[in-house]
Amino acid sequence: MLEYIIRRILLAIPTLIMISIISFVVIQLPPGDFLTSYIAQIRSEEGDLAAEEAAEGGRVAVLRQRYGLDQPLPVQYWRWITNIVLRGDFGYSFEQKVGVRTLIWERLALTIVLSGTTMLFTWLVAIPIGVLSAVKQYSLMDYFFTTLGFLGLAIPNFLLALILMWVAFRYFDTSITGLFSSHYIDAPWTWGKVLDLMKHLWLPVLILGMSGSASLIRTMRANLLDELNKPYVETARAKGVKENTLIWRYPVRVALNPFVSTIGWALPALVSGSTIVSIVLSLATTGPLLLRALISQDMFLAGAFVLLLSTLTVIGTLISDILLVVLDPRIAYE
Amino acid sequence: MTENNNLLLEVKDLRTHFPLRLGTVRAVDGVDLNIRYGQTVGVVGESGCGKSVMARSVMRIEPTPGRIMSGELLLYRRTAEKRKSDIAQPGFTDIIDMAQLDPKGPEARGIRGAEIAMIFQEPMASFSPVHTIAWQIIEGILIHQDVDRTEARRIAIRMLEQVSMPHPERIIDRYPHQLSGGMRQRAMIAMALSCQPSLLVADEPTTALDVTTQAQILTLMRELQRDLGMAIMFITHDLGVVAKMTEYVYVMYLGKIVESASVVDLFHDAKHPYTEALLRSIPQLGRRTHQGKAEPLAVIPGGVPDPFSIPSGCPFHPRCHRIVEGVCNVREPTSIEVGENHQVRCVLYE
Repeated sequence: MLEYIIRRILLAIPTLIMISIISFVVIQLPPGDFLTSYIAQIRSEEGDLAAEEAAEGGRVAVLRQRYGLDQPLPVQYWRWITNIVLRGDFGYSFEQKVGVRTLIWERLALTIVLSGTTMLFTWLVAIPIGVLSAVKQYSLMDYFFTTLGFLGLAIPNFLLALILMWVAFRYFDTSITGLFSSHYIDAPWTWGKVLDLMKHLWLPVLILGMSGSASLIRTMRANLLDELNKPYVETARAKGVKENTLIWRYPVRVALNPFVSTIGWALPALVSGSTIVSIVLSLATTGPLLLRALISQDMFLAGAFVLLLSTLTVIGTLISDILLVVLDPRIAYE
Repeated sequence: MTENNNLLLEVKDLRTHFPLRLGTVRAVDGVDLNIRYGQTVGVVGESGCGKSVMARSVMRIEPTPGRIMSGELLLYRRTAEKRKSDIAQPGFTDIIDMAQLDPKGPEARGIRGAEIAMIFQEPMASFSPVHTIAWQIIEGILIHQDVDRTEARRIAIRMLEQVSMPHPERIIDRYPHQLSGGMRQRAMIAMALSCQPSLLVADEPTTALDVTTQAQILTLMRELQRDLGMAIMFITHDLGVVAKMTEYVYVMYLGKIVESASVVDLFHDAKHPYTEALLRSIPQLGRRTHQGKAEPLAVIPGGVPDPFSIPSGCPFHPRCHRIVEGVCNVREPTSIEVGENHQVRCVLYE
């Protein structure tokens, strides 16, 4: 068991190296770099002469040299990755003119709080409903949640967000956007700010969790229906186990296994998911930041994200694989 | 059955129906059956004759949407001390009608696994794949017996020894997929017997096993029956198993008992055309015709009818070679006593 885990971790290392190379190549792929668009911006604002001057010497040249943008790709990559691994320095956001690290962390923390809560909410709501729907198949309750589930699947999250925003604004005269009240946005962390976050959190969680819950209910119901008629359920019944205990102890336990393998994708989705909803509700999460970085070719910022997301996928897959082995004894790890 | 003392289970006119969209399937349609303490009773029939549903109805685990429409399932209970001390002792403490119980209620659950236990056809699928053998056996012991986990484990290991499981202390912590088919069925039997049931319902326990393992399991069950003294209801389609295992046999066709007799009477003096046909369709080595030629294996023509359109009259008449036109397809025969403890449901004997 331990050997299996160690081997899996060792195998993840070459994967991560490959991923870092690919990430770097990908962010370099679009023609030009940030400095090209930077010069274009100066040209439009200050005229050709200023642009020429900036390009020849001055600001741009300094930047180009500092970040080695005139070096060949492998050298640039090496500089980039060693800074990350050795110093935790993800580089500089050209657009926002601050270090990528300072830019990412607070948003990342908020994102993880938001997405983690959403995930927890989704599971807590969807699993019991899915189980109930399967056990009482074709009952009134099952039909009710099936309808609700399909509605939840069909309505795009951002649309729901827009509708709720409008309703809140029109009828309750409040704004429901953001994760904090205005006076807390730039305030340092205090208990008051945490409480304020809690007060704002539930609505995005509800909106973000809706389609997730809906699809999870469907999957849980289908998985469990497959298990409910298995002979081992009958065996447990023949032993005199209480019906509720029996359902949760045997078929639900087996039906949950497939979910564990989705953790691999759940981790990166924690960071990059919900971008559109975050934009609509102006939530200070990582999604909108990533989108902007990609659009403006803010290469170090975008690169940091791509690398972060890929690493999370690898870690997530690793966690799923280990959990699956722990949960399902039929999976051999020799 | 005349011998009414020592009764353990009396099934009276049991009807278990499945209301489905296409119509009602009468899986069990008026079954009468008796089992005495310590007796081994066989229930034979083709696939789809309702024998498994009947067995599950007795346990009150009839599969959904099946429902017991009418009938009685009288369980003649003895207290645990009486059950243990003297199997042959007549008398009982109380009679309970299982058919009246809520299948999921505490009384039915208290009987299931304790007084009536069941073993199933698929020893692999009948164990949870994600729990150890120990976990699954101990669960039942903890439900029905007032013991702690350590003691329950001791009981479980003792039961595994009793079913001749090799290295029970080691095997008990294995998962079902790590065991062979025969070992799984042994574990299943150990689990069923861990609370000393008065009745063991065995639903084709050897069908999924290879022939050698089959023979071992049957021998084991006979030994256990001799040592522990529980009654066994043996559900099977294999007449060879019936001959080896049982004292008394019920032949079932489309939800009804068509013939019941002691195993000797059944094999030597079968009355019902269906039973006769079943017996003829057993392959026998060296069976010759009068001319000395190898005889082709007899088959029962046709198949079990569509459960939604059961033939009128005697349900067997379309496949019967002794059909009396104008009678069999019109009137349903009643059960007739044709010998001592020998009933048959056929117009030929009325």
